[in-house]
Amino acid sequence: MIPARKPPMATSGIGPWFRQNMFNNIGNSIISILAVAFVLLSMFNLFTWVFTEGHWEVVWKNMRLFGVYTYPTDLLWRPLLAAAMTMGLVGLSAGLAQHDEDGGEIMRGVFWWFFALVAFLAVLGLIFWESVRFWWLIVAIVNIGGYYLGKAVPQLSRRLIWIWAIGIIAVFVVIAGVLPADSNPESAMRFVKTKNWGGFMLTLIISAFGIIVSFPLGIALALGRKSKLPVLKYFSIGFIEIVRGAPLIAWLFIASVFVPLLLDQSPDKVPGLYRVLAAVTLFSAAYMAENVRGGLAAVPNGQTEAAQALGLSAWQNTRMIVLPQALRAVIPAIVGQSIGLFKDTSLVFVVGLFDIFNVHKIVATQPEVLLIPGGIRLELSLLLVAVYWYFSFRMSIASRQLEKQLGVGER
Amino acid sequence: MKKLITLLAILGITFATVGVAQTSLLDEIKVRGTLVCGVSTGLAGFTDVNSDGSFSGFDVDFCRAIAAAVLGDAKAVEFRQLSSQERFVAVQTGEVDVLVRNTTWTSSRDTDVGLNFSPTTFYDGQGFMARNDSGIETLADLEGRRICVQSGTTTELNLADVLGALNIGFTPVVFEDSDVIYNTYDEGGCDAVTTDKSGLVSRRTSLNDPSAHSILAATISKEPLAPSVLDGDDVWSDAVSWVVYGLITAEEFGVTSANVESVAMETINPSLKKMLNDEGGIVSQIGLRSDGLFQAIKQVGNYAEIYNRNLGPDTPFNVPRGLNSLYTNGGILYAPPLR
Repeated sequence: MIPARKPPMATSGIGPWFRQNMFNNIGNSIISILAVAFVLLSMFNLFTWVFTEGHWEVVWKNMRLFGVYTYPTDLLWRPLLAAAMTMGLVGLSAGLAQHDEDGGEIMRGVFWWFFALVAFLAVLGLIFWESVRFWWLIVAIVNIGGYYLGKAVPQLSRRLIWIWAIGIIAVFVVIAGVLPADSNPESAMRFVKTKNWGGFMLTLIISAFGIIVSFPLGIALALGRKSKLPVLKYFSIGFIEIVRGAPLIAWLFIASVFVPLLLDQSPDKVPGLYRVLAAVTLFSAAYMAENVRGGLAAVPNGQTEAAQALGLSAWQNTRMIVLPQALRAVIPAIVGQSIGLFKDTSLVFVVGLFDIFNVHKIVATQPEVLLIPGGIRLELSLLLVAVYWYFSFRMSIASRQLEKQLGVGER
Repeated sequence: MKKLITLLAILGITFATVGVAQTSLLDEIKVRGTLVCGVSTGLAGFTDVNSDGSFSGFDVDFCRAIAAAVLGDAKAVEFRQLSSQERFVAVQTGEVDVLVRNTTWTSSRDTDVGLNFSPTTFYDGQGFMARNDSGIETLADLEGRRICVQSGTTTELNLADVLGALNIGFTPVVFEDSDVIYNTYDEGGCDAVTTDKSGLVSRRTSLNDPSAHSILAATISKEPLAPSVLDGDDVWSDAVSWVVYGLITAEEFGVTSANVESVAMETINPSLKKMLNDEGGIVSQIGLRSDGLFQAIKQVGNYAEIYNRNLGPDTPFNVPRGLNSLYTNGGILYAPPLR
């Protein structure tokens, strides 16, 4: 009879994984222990600091500046109404996406990510923020209401693009107000100059506008660059190369300092924000064009030839054969660029606008803040990291999901 | 040919616009009912944005005083925050009526840039801050030391010029961001730090141990900070200037926001009668409201009140008056007579 032997060592599971990967010899064991100790110690110190030493009351007091900066106090409901409308649109789109063949997993994820934030703010608002007590709750309700409306009424998806178009215009009108400026200084829908827009609201406006508008512009420029029409081709090449030849901050300078001098005597006619939006969008479009061109180059010629053989027109070929494949190949690059643009909005300080990043500098030099030994730079930096991370990270996730869904790298 | 005509037409229109009869900005502001005032993007004590979104500070109060004097309401100001790069363009293009943005009055800005400066509201100057235990007390002690300075500023150039002329060798430690400079200094990354003295004073409060640092007595540059308006509009420039002079005169005569009403009623001093009651039309002829200076003092305060509210002993900054005292107290604030 064969004597019973010990079972072989397990090779899967948590224990064996650690044994094989972190403690497989003495050297690695020491490194593992030291690394874990270091991480634990830093985390412990960070949390101790965050919860016992950080001067969060100052940050907390300035939440309004971080949100909308100097937007008039009595009109705070307007940015919040705009937020409600935007969140409603996001919810609606996510709800409608649930009827798509792919199951709308990506949109659902984005929606819940936003909803988590909005619901969190709604709770904070109910408890602490008297001036905007119910508005954040309304935002949250509209957000989730939109989602279930979309789920319940799939027919709306045919009109979704129009709903978005009208919604964006409405959001703009709500934030900007209605002309003329000086009709009544107390009126609820009075005009608010773009110089008074700021904080995270401005960050979102600039980055959303830049990302959305530069996408079609970039595709157009990329196609233009590959076009056989010389005017189109050389215009596209010239535009792309000139714009990419200088850093964004230089273009913002030009937009803010030269344009008003060249155009006319009163820059109020083209406020700083619009000049910034134009500069950011055109800059982003040039980079987008090069990304898309990379994708276009990756589509084999055989695809075009096959399309021609089937009798597709040049436009049909581009729209249905070449572009879908080209864009699919460059999703990571496009998302990467969008994340970059989202963070580059902090450069708008050159035109005296205050996005969330520049608001933190203002807060850091308030007289009462200067009385705090060592200042509150660390607290403010952590807040910025948290805010930027929350959105950038979500963009990354969406990008990975999209790649997986489209099978990038699998064919 | 067609192109040429178009070009000429554009040029014609441009010149036609430029050639429109000059009316003073002062009248335009009165019609508009608000003053657009260019202030800093944030300089502690001079332009602060409070947590409720309101503005305060030394420069901000001068904007308010001008608004009170021209429009009768210190709140009728629209603040426009300007970066240092765009501030002059904002004046040149008329985006702001007046620039009160810790701007140093220099010859090139007065002539080439095309500004017209009003009297200095704050005499500043570049100085140094060092640790008490570093043994640095005079400029000569800076020999061989590391000095933190902001890159691309006149401060950096001054430092090199002045210490170079005195044959004092030093190592500049240059940073773009002022937060980084003071962090580095606080952590011992440099032995001394240099910028305008008002800036040093305000920054000292946020160091880990403010009492361990002192500001050297030496001043190596003149930085008169003055409001400015666009060149070529003397009416408006005069109005701004005399608001500043009025606030200094008010301090000289002890007129404050608290007592201005009773002084205006009871005074027998002819100068005060002219200033507060517009006797002889002295205030009106400046182009201000007849009760303009009265309103500015009542709603904002005299020079000393503005100074103390924003930079005085009760603030974190506690900047000594120094040169910014009245000429009767050893300073150089001297307003010409209102008569």
